Amino acid sequence: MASVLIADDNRDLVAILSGRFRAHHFQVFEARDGAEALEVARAERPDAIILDVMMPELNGYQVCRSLRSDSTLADVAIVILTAKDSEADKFWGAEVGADLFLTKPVDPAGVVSEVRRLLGLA
Amino acid sequence: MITAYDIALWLGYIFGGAAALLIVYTLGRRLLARILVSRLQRRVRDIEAIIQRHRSTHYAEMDRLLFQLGEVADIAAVEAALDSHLERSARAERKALKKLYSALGLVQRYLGRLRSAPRWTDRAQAAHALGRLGAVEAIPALVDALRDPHEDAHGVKLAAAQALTEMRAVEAVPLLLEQLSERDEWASPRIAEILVGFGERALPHLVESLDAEAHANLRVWAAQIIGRIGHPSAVSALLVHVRDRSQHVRMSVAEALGHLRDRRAVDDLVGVALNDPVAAVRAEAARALGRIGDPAVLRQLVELLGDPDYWTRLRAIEAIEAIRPDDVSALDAALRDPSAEVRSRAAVALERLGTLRARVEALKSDERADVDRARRTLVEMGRAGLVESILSFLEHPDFRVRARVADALGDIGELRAIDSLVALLDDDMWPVRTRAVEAIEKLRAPGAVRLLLPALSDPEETVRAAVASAIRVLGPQEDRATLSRLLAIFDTDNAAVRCSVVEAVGHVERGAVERILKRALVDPNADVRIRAVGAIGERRARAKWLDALVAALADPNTRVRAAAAHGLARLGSAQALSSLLDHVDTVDRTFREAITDALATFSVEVAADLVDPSATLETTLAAVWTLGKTGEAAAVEVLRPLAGHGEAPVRAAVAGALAKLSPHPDVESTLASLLSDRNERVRAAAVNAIGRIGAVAQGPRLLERLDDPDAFVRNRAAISLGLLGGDPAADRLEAIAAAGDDPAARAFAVVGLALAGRLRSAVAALGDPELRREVAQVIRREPDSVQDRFGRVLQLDESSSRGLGGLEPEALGLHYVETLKNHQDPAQRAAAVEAIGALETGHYAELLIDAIKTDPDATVRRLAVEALGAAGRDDLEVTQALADALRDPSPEIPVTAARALERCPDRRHNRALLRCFTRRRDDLDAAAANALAAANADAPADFVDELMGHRDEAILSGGAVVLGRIGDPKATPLLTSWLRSGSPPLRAAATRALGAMGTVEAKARVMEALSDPAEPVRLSALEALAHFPGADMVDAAKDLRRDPSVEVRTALARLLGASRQTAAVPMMAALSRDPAEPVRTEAMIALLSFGDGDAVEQFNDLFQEQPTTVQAQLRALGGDHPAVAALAQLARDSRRRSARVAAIQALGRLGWGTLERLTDALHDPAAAVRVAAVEVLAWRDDPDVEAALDGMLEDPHPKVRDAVRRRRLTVMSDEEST
Repeated sequence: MASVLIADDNRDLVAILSGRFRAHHFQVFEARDGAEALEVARAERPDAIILDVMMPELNGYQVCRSLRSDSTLADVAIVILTAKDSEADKFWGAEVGADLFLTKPVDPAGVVSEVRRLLGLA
Repeated sequence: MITAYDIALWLGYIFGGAAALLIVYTLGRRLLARILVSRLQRRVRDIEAIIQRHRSTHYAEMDRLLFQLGEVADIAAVEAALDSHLERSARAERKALKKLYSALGLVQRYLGRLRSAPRWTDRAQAAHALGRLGAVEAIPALVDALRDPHEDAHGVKLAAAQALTEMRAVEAVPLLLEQLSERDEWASPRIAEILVGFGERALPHLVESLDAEAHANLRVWAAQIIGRIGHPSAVSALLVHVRDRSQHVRMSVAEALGHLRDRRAVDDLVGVALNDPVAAVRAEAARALGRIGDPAVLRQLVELLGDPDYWTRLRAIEAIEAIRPDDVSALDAALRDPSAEVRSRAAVALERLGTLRARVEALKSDERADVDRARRTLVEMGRAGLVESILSFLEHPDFRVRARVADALGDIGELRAIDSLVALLDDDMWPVRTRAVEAIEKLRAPGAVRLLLPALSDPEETVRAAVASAIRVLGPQEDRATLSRLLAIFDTDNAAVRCSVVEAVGHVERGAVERILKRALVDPNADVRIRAVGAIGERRARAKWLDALVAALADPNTRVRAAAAHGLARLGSAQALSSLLDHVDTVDRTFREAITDALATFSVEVAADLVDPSATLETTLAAVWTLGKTGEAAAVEVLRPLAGHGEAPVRAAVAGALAKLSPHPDVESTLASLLSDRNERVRAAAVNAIGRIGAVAQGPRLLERLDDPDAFVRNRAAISLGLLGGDPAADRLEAIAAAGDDPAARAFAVVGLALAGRLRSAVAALGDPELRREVAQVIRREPDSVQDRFGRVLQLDESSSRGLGGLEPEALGLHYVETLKNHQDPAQRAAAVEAIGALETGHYAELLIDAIKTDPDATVRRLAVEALGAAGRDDLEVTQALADALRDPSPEIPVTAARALERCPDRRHNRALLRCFTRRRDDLDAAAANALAAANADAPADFVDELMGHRDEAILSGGAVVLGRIGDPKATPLLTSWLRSGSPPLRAAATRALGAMGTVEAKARVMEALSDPAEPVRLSALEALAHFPGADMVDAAKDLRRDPSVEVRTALARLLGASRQTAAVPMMAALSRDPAEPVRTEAMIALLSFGDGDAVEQFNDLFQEQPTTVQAQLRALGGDHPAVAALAQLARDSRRRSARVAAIQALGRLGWGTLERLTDALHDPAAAVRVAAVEVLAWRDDPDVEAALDGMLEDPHPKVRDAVRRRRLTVMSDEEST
């Protein structure tokens, strides 16, 4: 069973995305800030991680960078979600190693299908 | 009376008169000179007028002119007028002037002046005039002037050089060339310059000079001048000298060919000069190819980038740049060259080819791989010196480029970039600002923190976080302004920023900082708490933080607890120790490590006190680990008794701890004792520890662990044995890796083999996919040190060595191919060839062939030949490469190539192999003969035909050896014809070959050769005669008993000894009385080797007759000498009693009548044999012999008992007399 970590301080969005992923037989982990996201990622080693940019403790870019510098998590699929849609944000997302950059508001079904595509499940 | 006034007055008159006279004289002299000059000028004008008149008629009346000039009778005036005229004269007129000068004797006068005028101006003027006149006869004198060691005035030398240049008479060319035979650093370049001035007209002489064998200096200059003249007609002449025996000539020829820019030179430059053993020639060839600019040679130039000589690589880069290839990957690779100069030149080439701009533009790409590649090249180019060029791209209109260039500048590490990066902190795009901050952090420029402080107010959080992180990395900050700015940003919800603040200011002893630390200790983020605890541990006044640290020991986060333990260790107080001991039995692994690390900083006694029979297992283990970490010798004494502890985990921990305390005299012995522990985990720990400390002396005991009943122990033993190295271990591991039922055991053995340096075997084993998977799993679980060593031996990069892939034969092959092609270190290339040899060589034949042809290192070429030969392929490409290697200048390679050709027989290379015989080297002769025999065994007649086409004595002699090895009787007529040759070596070789034929006719020819006048032939005949055993052989050789040659008579004795013909015995006996001692010795040995009782009896009879020197040589025969062995066998096995007795007596004479050899004889059924044995043994002073002889007192035969008693009496009388 594939697993996904959803890290966002917006509990509603986390709940919606979790439901969608579970419906597609994903094991779901959740985190409410960047530090927790890192901790859960290191402990659970999910196949994919969805990161919000604006999070307490550590922002999504910082988490993404830490994950990519950890050789045991270097291959995990990372999707960055953000309300910002500037060229600079997209560029920085790629710079810190995200596989995909999605702008809020997002279609939960679309997020699931993108993650499935990244994991080669689609 | 004369007064002083009078004297003064008179003196005044005298001096006044003298002064007046002097003035009059000077004025008169000047007047006279003016009159003379005036007269001279008048005359000169008159003479010039005369010359002018004749000039207008083109000197048609030369005789009249000479007459008129003769009438002037003032040679100085004539000379002045003519010189003035000469200066203004046109070249066409000078021929007439030359005639005039010669007729007036002025040329000779100038020559004399040039050689000996005291004033340098006169010498220079003479040289100048001679040059203007084109006086060819002056060339030697002018050249002498050029190289005159006593000539200080360069004015003369320059005038001589200009004169020679001006001459332009083609007759001067040979004379000038002659001058180039000698080395002269001042004159030679000027003469060369003069010759260049002759242009095409000098070419025939220059080409001829290229062949001046005795004058390498001349040939060097000739080639250079031809190059400078640059006429294409000289190309073919130059190409001949691409193979010149002088490296300087080859170098100049390559240079000249480059100047000529003629494509006809490409093949020779590539095929010959690029493979020249001299680096300077290869470099010049590369430069020439660059000048020619043929794109077809790009591949060879790229290969030259792997040349061991940096100068050659530099030239190769220039040449590649000149060709302007589309694919610049080779230049990219050169950016990683070990030489800074090469890297710098490669960077310049890439910039000039427009690659730098192209790579910068690639930074815009959304494809990560493209960006990474471009960035990598940018960094390499920057490190190679192109920083200024790269900085200019910080003003690129695309923000992605600016950001990524800034990022690259950080890695380039040049402080020159700092100002441009600081300017970038005001960029409109925050990713650019972030990258600028990170780059400034990487540069670690002095004052960088001050430069970054304004960015702490950046509107973008990512930039602020980057600044905080940079300030943390840049080290603790104490500057008041910096501190206040940093403390101000602690109140952020970004944990990374809070961490950075704590790290940057945590050590500062100020109240404001302490308040921040207290908040940080209870921060919700564990990372912030860890940094706070860490900072407290580093503070000078940390004692007052004891309670905070003790409290942190109970933190829910393990890493915070571990940090607190380290902080308490730094505190070092009794309270700190006490609080640490409270946690000594923790089961949390990370915390336990920290606690034992901390305790180890106190003392051995602290840990020793924990060792108590009533202590828990955890406490005892903690004590053992702590003792290991102390590094104190005293800890060994505490640990040794624990090697007998009742708990196996404790004993295993003791092994690990002891390994950390090595070297210590008791460590190795304690570990050795644990090798036979009853518990397998303990044995495994001991095995690991021995491997880790490199206790080579324990190798044999570790070898025993390969048979341990426990698989884990066996596998650990394989790794440790690999670490210890040595042939016995590697041999054993090789056997396990090659065959075994347990894949895991085989995998451990392969890893051990690699660690032991058996690269070839390890790589060969990795060809098995299943085993390869196992090896990858094994290596992945090993500690870094083992993984690193494994990677180093296999030459893998880090990811491969860490078991993440790359062990597949294809990947390994590619890796080794890359190494062989590009690595600068010959040892690495040699290892790569070995590894390729262990892989499926078929894929890499072309590469190996290439290495054989081009690698400058002889070891690499030899190993490539071996690898190619080992594959046993017989296609022409392979065998041709091996045949080419027969001509390799390194002495070992032709031998290796010949041996390889023996495995890949191919008659097409007969000629190359036959040529090997001309080198007259025994090892090469033998290898070539074997290869030829293998190649021609199926068609000896063709080989005979081929030999008939040769005349060289060495080739024919070698051919005879080959024919002997093939042994085909069809060669008999040819061999027989060679017996009539005038060459003794050829007759000798033919005789030996005939011996190998074994036919009746061959036998007859060999017997004829016994009477050959040449000693080597007779010796060969005796050698060949051994192939024809029989009585007639002995009969045929009998006349050689009186041969004048000692060597022949000695060889005869040897042959007789091996003949087994009864008729030989009297001849051997006769030779035992030969006047020459070597013959006697060999004949006596022959009698022993004969293996017959009669012969041995003859030996015994003749022994006393021999001179003491011969007897001594016979006694010096070793116990394993065939003659002694034959005697021992005769004494034991002969059916004839007399033969056994004779053999025993002979053994006694030779000093080999030992109890070991004669024990059987003491129990021989024949009493005479037993008596002989007792008599021989009687002379041995040995308690065992005495005991054996005592036993013989019970012998049933009285003669035996008497012999024993006689011995006793002899011994007693000896003792009495003593």
